[in-house]
Order: sequence, then C-alpha cells, then structure tokens
Amino acid sequence: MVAPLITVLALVLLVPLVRLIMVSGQEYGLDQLIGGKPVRWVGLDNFVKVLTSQDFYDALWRTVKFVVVSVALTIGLGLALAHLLAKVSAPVRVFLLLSLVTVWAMPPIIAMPIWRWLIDQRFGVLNYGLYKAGLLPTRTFNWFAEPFTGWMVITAIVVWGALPFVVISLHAAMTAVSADHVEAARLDGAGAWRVFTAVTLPAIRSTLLIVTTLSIIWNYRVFAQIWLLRDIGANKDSYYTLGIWSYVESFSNKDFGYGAAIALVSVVLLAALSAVAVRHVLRSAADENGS
Amino acid sequence: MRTPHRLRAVTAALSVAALLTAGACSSDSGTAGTSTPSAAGASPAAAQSSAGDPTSEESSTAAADPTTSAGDSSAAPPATSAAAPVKDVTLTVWMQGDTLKDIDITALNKEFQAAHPGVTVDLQEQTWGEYTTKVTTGLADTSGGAPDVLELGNTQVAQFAGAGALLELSADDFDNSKTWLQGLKESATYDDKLVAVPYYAGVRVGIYRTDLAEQAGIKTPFNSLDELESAGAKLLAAHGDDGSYSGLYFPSQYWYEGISFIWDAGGEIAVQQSDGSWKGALDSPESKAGLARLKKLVDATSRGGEGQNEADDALVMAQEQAAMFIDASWKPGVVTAKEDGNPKLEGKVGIFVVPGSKPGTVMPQFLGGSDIAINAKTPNADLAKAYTKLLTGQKYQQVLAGKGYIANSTSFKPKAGDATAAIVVKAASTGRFVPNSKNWTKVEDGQVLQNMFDAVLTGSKSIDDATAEASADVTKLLNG
Repeated sequence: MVAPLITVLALVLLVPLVRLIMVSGQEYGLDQLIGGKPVRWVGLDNFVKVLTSQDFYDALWRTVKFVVVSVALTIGLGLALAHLLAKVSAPVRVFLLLSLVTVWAMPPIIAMPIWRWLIDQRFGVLNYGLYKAGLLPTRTFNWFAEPFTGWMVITAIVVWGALPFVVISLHAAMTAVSADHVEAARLDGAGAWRVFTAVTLPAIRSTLLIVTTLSIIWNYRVFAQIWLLRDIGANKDSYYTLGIWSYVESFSNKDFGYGAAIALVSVVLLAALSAVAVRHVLRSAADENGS
Repeated sequence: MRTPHRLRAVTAALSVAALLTAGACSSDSGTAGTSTPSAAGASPAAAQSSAGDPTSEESSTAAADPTTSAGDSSAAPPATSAAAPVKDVTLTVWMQGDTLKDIDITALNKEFQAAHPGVTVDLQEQTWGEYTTKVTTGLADTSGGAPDVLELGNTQVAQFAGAGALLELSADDFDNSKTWLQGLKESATYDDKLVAVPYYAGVRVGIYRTDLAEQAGIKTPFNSLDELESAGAKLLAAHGDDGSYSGLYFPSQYWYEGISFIWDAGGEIAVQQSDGSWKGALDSPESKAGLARLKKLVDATSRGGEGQNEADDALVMAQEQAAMFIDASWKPGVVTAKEDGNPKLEGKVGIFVVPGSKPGTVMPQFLGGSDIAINAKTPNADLAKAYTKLLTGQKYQQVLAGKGYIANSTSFKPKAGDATAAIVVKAASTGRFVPNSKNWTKVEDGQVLQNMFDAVLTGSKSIDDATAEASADVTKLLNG
C-alpha cells in the first residue's frame, strides 16, 4: 500500500528537488540546455553570487515586508470576520459562507484578469468609482506606477484570496468554544473584549497558530498574483520577491544554475521558518495535552 | 516536557515535509509561470509580446501587388531530397497563428507533401505568450517532440543562435536573398552567419481619426515632426484638455516607438566595439537629443499614458480617448473591430508615415517580424531546408504580400494607386533592428528601455540620469 505512494512522491517531489540541487551547483544556461555544450560544475559559486548580491537582500526584505503585512491583515481581518459570522443570523451566515467559498474556489489565474480589469488605468471600474468619489487625483491613475500603491493592490488581492480559509477555520474553532465559559465570564462582569481575550482566544490558540503558520508559508511563496500584475507599470524589479526573482533569472535570463541557487536559498529560509513555527505549534499542543 | 524526544522527532519529520513541500512549490512556480501567459493573454493589457512584436494579422487595408522580379520558382524541391525519396518521415513545424490562414498553409503543406512522398508535415500552431520558454524546452527535447522547422520572432533569433541551437544556412539556397529586407536580414544573421530566413515584417505607422483631422483642418502626410506635433496639439485643444484625452496618445513605456526618436536624431541603443563587445550609447548627445524631442512631443499631445505600455493603444482610440497614436499598420482594424473595438469608427481611421524631425524625412522604425529557423539537431535537415524555402519563397511570399503583409523582400512593390500599401512599404523601408546580441532578450526582459522611457516621459528622472543608468545597464547586460 505504501510503496506506490512513496514512488509517486519520490517522482514528483524528490526527483525535481535533487535535479534542482544539482543544477544549482552548475553553470547551466541555454548553451548547456540546447546548445549541447558540456555542463561545468562550479561548486558553490552560484550560492556565493546569490548571497553577495544586493538584489538578494532587496528581494528578501521585500518578501519579508509583504509576508508580515499580508499575514497580519489576513489574520486580523480573518478574526474579525469569524467573529462576525458567529453573531449574525443564520441566513446571513450562510450567505457570507457561500461568498467566502466562492472566493476560495476561484484559482488566482482566473481571478487575476478580473482584478486587472477592475484596476485598469483607463477603463477600470474601480478607478472610475474612486475618481468620481474624489479619492483619486486623476481619472487615469496607474496603481503600479509607484511600488507602494502597486504593493497595496497585490496585498489586497492576496489577502482577499487568503481570507476564506482563515475565516472558515477560525469560525469552526470558535463554534467549539464552550458557551458555558463565555456565559460564566459574562456573569463575572467581563466585557466583549475581555471575553475575547480571556476565553475565546485561548480556546482557539492552536488553530490560530496553525492558520498563521500556513499563511506565512503560502504568502511567502505567492507567485501568480505578483507575476500577473507587475507588468502594469514600469520598474518591474520593484516587484521581485525571492520567487519572482528566481523565475526571472531562470526563465527570462536563462541562467538556470543561478535561478536554482536562489530557489534553494529561498526554500532553506522557508524551511527554517517553518521548523520554528511547527515546533511552536507542537509544543503548545503538547502543553495543552500535558496540562 | 513530558515527551521531549517524540516532540523532536515529530518536529524533524514535519520540517522535512515542509522542505519537500517548499521544494515542490518552487519547481511548481515554474509551471505557474508557464501557464501564466495564457491567462495574461486573455486580459486586455497583455497583447504586447516581448517577441519583438511581430506585428501582423489580417489587414484589410493594405494590399501590395508583387511586381515580381527576383527569384526562380520555388515550387521545385531541392535536388537533394528529390534524388533519394525518404520514407515515412514526419517533419515537425512550429508556426504562429498570425499568417497561417493568409498564406494558405494547408495548400502549402499539400504541395510540399506531394513533392516529397512519404513525408508528413506535422504543423503545430503556437502562441506568442511565453513562446521563448516553449522554444527553449522544444529545442532541449531529445525524445522526439522537438520542432524541425520553427518560426521565431526576430528578436528571439539571436539567443538561440548564440547557444548554437539553430542550423547554419546558406543564403543562396533561398529565394530573393539578395533583396531581403535589411532589418529582417540583420535579425536572421548571427556572427556573420545566416541562422534563419526572413519570413515577414511588421512596421509602425501613424494612425489617426480622419474625421477629426478634417474638422480641425489637418492634412496628412506630415512633412516633419513639428507638423505632427502641432497637429496633435490642435486635436487635443479641439477636444479640451481633460487629462485623459490625447491628441497623439504615446504611452510612457513604449520603447518600440520611442527608440525611433533616438535613431532619428542619430543615436543608437548600443554600438559594437572592434573587439566584439558592446557599449551602451543611450547617453550619447544624439540619443539625449532624440529623447528630449520625444518628450516635447509627448508633453504637448499625450495624456494619461503614464506607466502604460502600448498594448491598449487601439482601445484608447476605440473609446474616443485619442485622435492619433503610433503603432503597427494593422491596428486600425483593432480600433474598429466589431467585438472589442468601436465599429462606429469604421472608415474614419487612416494611417500616415511618421515623419522625421528634419523636414521631408521619414522616421526610422523598428522592424518587427518573424524569421524561420531550423533546429540544429534535426535529423531531416534537407527536408527542413526545403520546407523553409517553400515557406519563404517567391510563390507564397507573393500570396502574403497580396494580402497586405510586408513580405520578406523589397522586390514586392505596392500596387500602383494603393495609398495605404505605399505608406506601409515606405515606413518599412526605414526598418531598423536592435543590437544583435544573444543577450538582447535580457535587455528586453529586464525592462531597461521601458524604464528609461517611463522615467523620462513621466519626468521622474532627468534625461541625463535616466540615460546614464540605462546605458550602463545595456553595456552590462549585452556583454553579460
């Protein structure tokens, strides 16, 4: 039963990973791939090039900023919406949940053209509305002319796409919070905020941690949303995250060795981050079991 | 701490799982990227292709009548393959969809197969989105999926030729090679060797609303850039300068046309040194003068093009937001298209040759287009050459020219009395090409020129700063 599964996993995960590691140690470009020139092993040269490149630190800093902001927004809004779900009447709740699931069901590749149309400089309905409402300085506002507003749009879209999972998970966790506990806290004179921090939050802590960890991992490797939007304005390199940068070096500049090295460094950073987070989650779970 | 060991083991296992997932994700990002363009292609702003903008679709306007002169009839197969008929061979051909219908590829393939018994042509239609990536994987394929003959955008040729992946050809084997369009011939030549055969070209012209011009008392053709500028300013004033309407719409990232102004002023993108290395020349006094002239034109006539590329320019005119713009000669058809355009403008959109700054001159234009190349690893080199000869030869080029395309040779003259065709051919006669380095695509993909034009035209950087930066980047990337 297990052997086929392991074979499949090895084929789809291990083989590409091993190949990626090999290529990262080579000088491997178009000359090698299609020109038939011999592959040259360069040891750790590609990694040295990555780690000594200013582009790397720029991309990393950009990635970190984006992850922190987008995850904070996702979790903050997610908590608020999950809370709202618990308070509204049943029909409204069903409507909200359906809307969330619809967003969830939409693949980014499909959602992006719609977003592009909404924010189009000249024909976008969002631009039109904001301009009419006096919120935009000009009718032909380009969101991607400046990296700051460009990242605002990207963050909004990523958060929009990430919310459903977070809200539904947190909502599920909240419904498990014992009504007796809430009632007891109320009787003891706790206000809404106090009930939330003293009763609800501890009860949903492990779910919250897992959801946050997953959000960090997912947002760290966001690709399609940025890739499909960044060509709207000039200075595309203001939108290089580690993933985009790795793709550009590999597939635009055809420096597969360098691109592979960037990807690996990025994976190692994410793995380290995940290990810390996963450890944290497990420890809190263990503490709860032990208490 | 009741279960420290178990905890550690589980942590380790989960970390490995996370690593594997992340690994899969990063290889998976490649897939995401490859599938990206098809979605991007559906969006309104993604029609621009980095493929050197091979401009051509059916153009109902232009029609060129080949006053044929050069060339032996191409229908006869070359002696090599006729001598020894091959049995059961499949020739894989990758072509873009643009020309297939107009050149009547079905008839062409039938003719080829009839001349080469036992050979089947497997025509695989491609799209420009991420075509470079597809060609890269195609040429790397050793399992039989590789193309034998392939169409390449003219700015894509150099990188594959530079890697040694394209078969070296001899010009004498192909029709009209003495009269190939200079801009296309340059793109098909690498290191002084012919590595592809010119197929067809696309060129940019001025596109304008004839009704509005008439109302404003403007007559084409324009004799100089100054005339064009005052016409643009007049059309802008006639409508009222509301910040989004343009007399002449010119998006700030539009390097394909911006570069014309640099060439017109005597500047270059880069010049090749005697040792073969490249040196960026965007910061030369000539280049800067050209940019300053462009900025003056744009400031006087264009609105709302900040941060934009040219992908949507025809829609801007279709939405009656521009009286003129400059783009491929087939774009008027996009303006008046039934589905996405504005059919009410039918018959009210004309074209003109973009004038140079000196009175009476024509502004040099970047010559877009396609070349046909042969995979260096093809086992059927002779067949591939024969097919390429047929595709780029007198007979079928004449068919293309007759449908308004700019065929690959100057021997195809516009029909007497056809003003539109004459304009297109005149514009194409000035065709120029980008530095022919295998690293050129890095300049394109790195957005060096887009960023420079954007910075200058939006005023976010001075011409001196923007050109110094871009020139240094070009030098670095072309020699990289």
